[in-house]
Amino acid sequence: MKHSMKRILACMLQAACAALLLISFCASPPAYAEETAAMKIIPSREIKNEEAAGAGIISAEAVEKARAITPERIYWLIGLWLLIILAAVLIRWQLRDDDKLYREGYYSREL
Amino acid sequence: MEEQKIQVKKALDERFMLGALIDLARKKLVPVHKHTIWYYMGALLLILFMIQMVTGPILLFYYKPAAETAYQSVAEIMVKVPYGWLLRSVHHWSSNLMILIAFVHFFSTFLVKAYRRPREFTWLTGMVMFLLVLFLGYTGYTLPFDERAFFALNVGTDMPGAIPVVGQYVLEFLRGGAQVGAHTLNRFFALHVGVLPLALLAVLAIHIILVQMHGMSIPLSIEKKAKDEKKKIPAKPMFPHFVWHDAVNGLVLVGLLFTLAICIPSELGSVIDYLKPAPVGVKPDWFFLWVYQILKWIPTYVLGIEGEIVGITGLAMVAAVIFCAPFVDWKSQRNERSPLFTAFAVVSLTVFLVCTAIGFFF
Repeated sequence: MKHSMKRILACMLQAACAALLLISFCASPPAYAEETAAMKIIPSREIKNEEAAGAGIISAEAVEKARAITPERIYWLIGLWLLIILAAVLIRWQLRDDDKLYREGYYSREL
Repeated sequence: MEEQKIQVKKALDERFMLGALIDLARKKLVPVHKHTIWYYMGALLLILFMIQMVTGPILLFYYKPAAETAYQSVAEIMVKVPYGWLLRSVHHWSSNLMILIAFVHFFSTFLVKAYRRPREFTWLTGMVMFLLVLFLGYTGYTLPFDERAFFALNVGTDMPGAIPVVGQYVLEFLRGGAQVGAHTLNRFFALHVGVLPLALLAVLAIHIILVQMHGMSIPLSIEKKAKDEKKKIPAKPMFPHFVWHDAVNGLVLVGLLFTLAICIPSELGSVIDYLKPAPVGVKPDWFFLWVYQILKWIPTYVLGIEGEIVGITGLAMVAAVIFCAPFVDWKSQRNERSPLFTAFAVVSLTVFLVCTAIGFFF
């Protein structure tokens, strides 16, 4: 296989992995998705009532809940690390080629 | 296909002189020796700064910089904004990693005497950036305006008050009055999102130009050894070799950053109670723990002078010597070994590590 072909394939593979990761991340519902309706028209009277009842205030418990480590977050993190390792391996290949050129004297070697 | 590629390259070269830039990067050589690892710190700092410049403005879309709204807006970012917790945590951890790597970069360049001629101004711009990064970290820490931020503001703005003559003016300028309050938050917000990042960008540009002009500094011991052995120091081109190494390091750094952001998301303390006294053992953020610990050890009065004034003056003098190192370390400037400054750097590093550890654990 030609060298440039190998690079194109590697780039495509990486782009596919990145797209998959992004799709999985965006498709998974946020931790508080169940609290927000997709579309709802709220009459102003209702808003006023909610404000009077202190609905706008976010409690410390809600913040702690948002900070919790969920399985989805861990899966996403594992996915990210796999992608990073894959990219690092591809870069190592590239570096090996560059080092070969360096040894062959293609680049200047001394200061 | 190949012809089209050449045409695109030619068109880009004609408009943006890309060829000249690549040629410059290829010509720039990076010395390869046992201390080469320290050359990677600058690129890591640049990557973290870029992450800050992306996450910061997104957080600004939701943050409400007023004493009554700041805390709730941060809570909203954490709970209501989609992936707000992640965004805030990435911003928080990237700033902490940036400060940590800035310390590593500072001590490594200090120990290898990278400030030797002709790099005096590279050192000075680096020191200015280091201070700006520390202040960016501090001002950012106070923006959630929670209880921790309130006490950090009180303690942090109180310190400049101990400076003789101008202290009181500096204190009132920072606080926007005699006490920490709504004006203090506005000032710290303006500093964090406007003044400090712009100043950092300007100094960073000068620093990068100077680094490109003078190249990487080679430690004196390596230079001497090469001279004695009548050998030349091996070097590799910046592009592509070191750019690829920087890319791998950057990827690992991003992985580490997201691991920290997901496993230890940034906290939000309690709501401020202005009447509550400062809790026992209130401490500053980790990067100022060494200052806190040193000041804690100094007695209330030293030779009749207030201990805090003595401590701050002493620390300022040490900082001034480090800042002016290229102009006071004459031996290094003559390319001679300078054991006094090596000892000074080792002692500074030890004091920083020991005091930070004691401040953190006790």
